[in-house]
Amino acid sequence: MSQKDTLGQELSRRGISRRALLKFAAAAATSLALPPSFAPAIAEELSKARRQSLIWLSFQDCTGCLEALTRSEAPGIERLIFDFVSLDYQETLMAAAGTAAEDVLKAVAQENRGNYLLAVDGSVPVADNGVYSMIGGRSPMAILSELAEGAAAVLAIGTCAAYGGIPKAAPNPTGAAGIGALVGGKPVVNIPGCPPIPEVLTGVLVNFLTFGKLPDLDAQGRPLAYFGTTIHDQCYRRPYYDQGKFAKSFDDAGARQGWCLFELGCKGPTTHNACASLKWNGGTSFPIQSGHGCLGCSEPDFWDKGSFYTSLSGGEGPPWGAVAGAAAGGVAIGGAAAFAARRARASVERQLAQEWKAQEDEA
Amino acid sequence: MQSDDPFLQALLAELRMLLAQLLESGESGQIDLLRLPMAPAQTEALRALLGQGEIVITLEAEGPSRIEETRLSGVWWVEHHDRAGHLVARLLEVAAVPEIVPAAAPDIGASLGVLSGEDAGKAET
Amino acid sequence: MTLLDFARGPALYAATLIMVCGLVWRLTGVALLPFRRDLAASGPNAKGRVSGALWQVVSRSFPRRSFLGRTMVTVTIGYAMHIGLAVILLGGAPHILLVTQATGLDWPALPKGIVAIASGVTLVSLLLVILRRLTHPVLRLLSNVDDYLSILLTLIPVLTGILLAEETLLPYETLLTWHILSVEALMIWLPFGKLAHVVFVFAGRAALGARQARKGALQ
Repeated sequence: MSQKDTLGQELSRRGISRRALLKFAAAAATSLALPPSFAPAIAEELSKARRQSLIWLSFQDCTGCLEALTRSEAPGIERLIFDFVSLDYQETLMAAAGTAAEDVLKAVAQENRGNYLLAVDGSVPVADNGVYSMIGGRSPMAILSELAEGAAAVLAIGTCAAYGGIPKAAPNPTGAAGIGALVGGKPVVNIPGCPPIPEVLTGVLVNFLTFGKLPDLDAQGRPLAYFGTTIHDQCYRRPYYDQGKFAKSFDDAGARQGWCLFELGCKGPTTHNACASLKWNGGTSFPIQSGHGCLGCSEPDFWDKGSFYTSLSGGEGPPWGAVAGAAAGGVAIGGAAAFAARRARASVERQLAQEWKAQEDEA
Repeated sequence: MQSDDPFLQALLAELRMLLAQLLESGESGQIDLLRLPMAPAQTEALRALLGQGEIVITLEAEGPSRIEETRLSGVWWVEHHDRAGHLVARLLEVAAVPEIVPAAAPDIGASLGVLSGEDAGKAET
Repeated sequence: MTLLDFARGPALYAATLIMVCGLVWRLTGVALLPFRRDLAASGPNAKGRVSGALWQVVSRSFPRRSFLGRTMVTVTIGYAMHIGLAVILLGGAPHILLVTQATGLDWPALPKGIVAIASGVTLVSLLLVILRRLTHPVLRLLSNVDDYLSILLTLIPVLTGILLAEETLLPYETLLTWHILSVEALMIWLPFGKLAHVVFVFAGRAALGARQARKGALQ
């Protein structure tokens, strides 16, 4: 397709109807948490938009993000977004390899300089000059800074790209870091999650194509429309939390009745994501609905925040040996203080006795 | 129409407001049911509460959609699915006819072009 | 490490150790102080030391009728606050959970609504306590930094706890962080100021009761 055609022209040429676009816009409005009345305007703007070039880089990742974003049994309506963007470079999906692939990347970056979107999944190893994830003999950091410079904006897809994720988990041997910490001077949108919700990427792209800008972000660089509320606030099990009805184990009566999983370590109250409302696999379910607490995968350093099965209000408990030690220390200090007090009193009494004796002697 | 569930009560109140607005100003309104924190049972309860009206429209555009009139005239239950059959939008639309249903002027123009023996693409541009 | 991780990890650890060490230190220090031997013969109404100690622990918990007019306010506010705190600490589900995960002990929680009412009563009582201390002519002269600090350090966890339970004003994470940190501040101060009465109040009454019983001064 020519980059000059509008998407509306391209879609009608392919026999995709106005109603199909309206449907997509309705789904996008739902996903962007916009009022449904915005759908016609979104459809209108999308049909006027030009095709958007997208370059996708993969660094220290498990490809789970890409799996989540591309796997679906049949092309769904959200896949329309792939008609709106031109995925110009993606190592896993593209047919080209080796120098041919590098040439494509160079050409695309040159041609769309200043206009392309740069998507990244996986964290960047910065320790030891990035030797842990070299591509074509170049370090991830070198590739990232070169391509970020010519990008309109950078999308950090998945928790690893956003915050370093699992590669950054202690002791972080590769010095892994998130994109936001490494790229300066460019707008970066974090779409964290392990994996991220496909509809969020779609929504961010729709937002960019219709409004010509990136969505509003929260303090962690995530789109507010999806990460503005906690899982806890949207959770359908929330009424049980308010009533104090908690499952105590994964197979007790409470768990079978769908009670709140807070005591089993659910991180819903401190996790911002849209799982509870958008859900997964076309609205089928999400972790809490399937009976497991939230792991908090869309938050920075979720891997290093203690056990997934320790509740937020509880800790691991103090080390009892240290507590006993502290008590022994208390006895020692208290004993010493009392001993000092006794000695002070004894010396006073000795002095008094001497004075009395002296008085008696005088008398 | 009554419900014991305070959540559904609030939804019904919003529907009442949207219907009054439709009657007064002709302005249609929508409620996005997918973005509301509803348990599956609540959605079913709401569907049962609103009941079935006289009209059912099916739409085939990049996957099936079903647009059903409820027992309340002017309130439509709209569900869009993608080609894989996944639900992508569930709306309550308050309108005389849901927005997606009527033919739009450019499409009608294209039809005219077809019948006049012209190229459909030209009529659109 | 986020502030929440710090609050739940090293800070909680340190605060627990300081509190335990401090309380044991204070108790041992007082217990081992030199007592002057009671050389007097026991009085005509002398009672047993143990029963005297127990009697004093209980009887001092009730206000004297003759002073009731003057002490009514203090007694009422004091009881409201202490009972409220006990309900929050022993009845609040998250608090029980904390103890359960640390020690394995478990008991049923009170409904959230009851704990919320108790929290409200406690907060209002603490505010009244400060107000009374600031306005009462005698109390004001008797009060020092220790008094105000001790009340304030009790009040802040209650306030952050209420906001946390209701999940208003600030994000849950922020409130949880400040609730835990404020409790830790309380734990650290507890052994060293007037809050040490949590262990001294009954020990002091018992010691006094035992002595008075021997002298026959106990009615």
